[in-house]
Amino acid sequence: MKKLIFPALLGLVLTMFFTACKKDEVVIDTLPATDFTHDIALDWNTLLLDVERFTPGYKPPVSARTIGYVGLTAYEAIVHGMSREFNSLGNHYPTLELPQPEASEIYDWEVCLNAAYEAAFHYFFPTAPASQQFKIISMADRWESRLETKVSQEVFNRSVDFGIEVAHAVYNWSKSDHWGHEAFLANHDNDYVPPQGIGLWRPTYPDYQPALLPHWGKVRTFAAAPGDGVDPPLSYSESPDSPLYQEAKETQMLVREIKAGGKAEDRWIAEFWSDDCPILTFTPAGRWISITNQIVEQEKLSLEDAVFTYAKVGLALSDAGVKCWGEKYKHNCERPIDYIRRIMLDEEWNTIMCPDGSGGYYTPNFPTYPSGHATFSSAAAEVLTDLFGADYAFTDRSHEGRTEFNGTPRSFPDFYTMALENAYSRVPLGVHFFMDSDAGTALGFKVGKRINDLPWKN
Amino acid sequence: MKQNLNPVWCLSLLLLLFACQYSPPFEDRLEQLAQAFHDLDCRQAVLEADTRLSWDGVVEQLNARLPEDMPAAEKQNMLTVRNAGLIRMFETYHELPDSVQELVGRAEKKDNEIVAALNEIKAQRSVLDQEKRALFLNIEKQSAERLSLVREQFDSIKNTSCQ
Repeated sequence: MKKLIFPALLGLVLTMFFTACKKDEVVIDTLPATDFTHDIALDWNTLLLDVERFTPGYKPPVSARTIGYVGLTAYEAIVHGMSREFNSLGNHYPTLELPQPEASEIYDWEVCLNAAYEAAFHYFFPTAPASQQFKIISMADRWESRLETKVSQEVFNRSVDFGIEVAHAVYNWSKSDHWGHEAFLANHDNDYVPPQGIGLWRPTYPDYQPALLPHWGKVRTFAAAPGDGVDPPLSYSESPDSPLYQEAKETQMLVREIKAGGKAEDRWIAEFWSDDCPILTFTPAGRWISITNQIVEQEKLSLEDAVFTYAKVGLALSDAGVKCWGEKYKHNCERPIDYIRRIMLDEEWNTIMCPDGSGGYYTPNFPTYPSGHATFSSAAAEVLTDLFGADYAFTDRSHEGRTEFNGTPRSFPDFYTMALENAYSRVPLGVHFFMDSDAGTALGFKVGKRINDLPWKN
Repeated sequence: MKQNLNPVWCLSLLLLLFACQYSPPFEDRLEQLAQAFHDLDCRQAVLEADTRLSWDGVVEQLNARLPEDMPAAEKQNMLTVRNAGLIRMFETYHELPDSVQELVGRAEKKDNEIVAALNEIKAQRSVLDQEKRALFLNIEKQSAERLSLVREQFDSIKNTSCQ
């Protein structure tokens, strides 16, 4: 009997041991990025508009660059979980050293993305005021708590680490871009002296602010080539028969009529697209993220499509800012207000930009040619057309409900029409000549095409 | 006496001890971590309340001292931004009494200090989070069900109301 008891007990003990130590089966969510919803990307891009709006120093080109790097971070965080046709852009940028996911390991792309966005916001908005920092933390926590139990801890950890590593790699790459990195800390160069001469830009009435980001043309581009630029502006002339004088006359008259209570639609267009006044709205670059947010929601895009769209729009906006500002300071053309006051002797003439409530208005503090709004909008419109088609009808509700200006939604048959209207809006606002809008539009389309041509897909 | 040292019982005891030895240290440490997370969350909540209070004071003063003829929409924007750099961009700011401008300056200093403290909290949370995730992973390797229980306990400590 004793001989039987020993093996039986040993068997029982071994069974207990293996039962105690057996790893439970874990159900792992291995969905590709196509099968997730856009919610995380949309949430973070909605927050981005608040943060760029309420953080000092995020002027349009700076904001555009930030949007570009955040968009690239998000794209690279999930590209390996996207359809096979998509490529990482890591090979396209020799100095961008991206981490690679571990072969044959499982990642959760929502977890990767949330971690990447959190880290990217931490890196790219370090000076955000406390109220915005709390919003960033809250967004990250809310998503993390939703995501942490849907996959195994192993997958969760691996995915968080990968998202953070990607953000870190993209940030390191940003750091190597001398002129662009942390430009939010210094929008002006105190040593910069604008070239002097008739018809050249100089600080404008009423606040005579120094030149904004005069070296921005040296910032790294994602796709735009050194030769991408604009044709020379109209020749400077003071003759009433000259094309420049005629264009100044158009700007002068449009604003006069608007101030006299006429041209209601032009006023609406001017105010609808302005996005010039700090605090009042997001920047003109942010405007195209607002538009993208609406499209993402409306089209119920998958996570993959949403992140791809944000990346393309972001890179386009960033390059638009760089090329446009480079051209602005290359040509250094004066603003309509100076030409109209000095040459046309309309000394009280002013724009209708950013009314201060007591009859005062402003002019942006950088050269006029080409228009930044026009460049941003046509670059974004070009990539959105590539993604959603040439006849994508859209109603922009970015400023619906605003009472400080006319933000009533406007409808468009396609993105090109939107871009053209955005470019035109600068003339009735009084801050640009037609030539600025036309040149900016042409430049933006060029930039947008460059972004479309990046090796996104096989 | 010899019978008390039966090899079967010795082996059983040894195996059982080996099988269970991972439990207490993990759980003790996780409890400490959960408490540390809770403390950081509470510190963060205090900072958030401080930020709100600090700017509430500024908004109250601005509201009282801004010119009556200031356009309502512009006034509303100025009161909404809660950021010294942005408040200074309004022309009206420069017409405000020194005492209000100083208040804005103090709120700015406080905001910067809060951001610095918040960054410190974020850094501490990041370190704790790595440790938490590593411990959770170890537990999961033993039993996913147990991880689920541990996570519940962890969250209940972490989410306890702040005093």
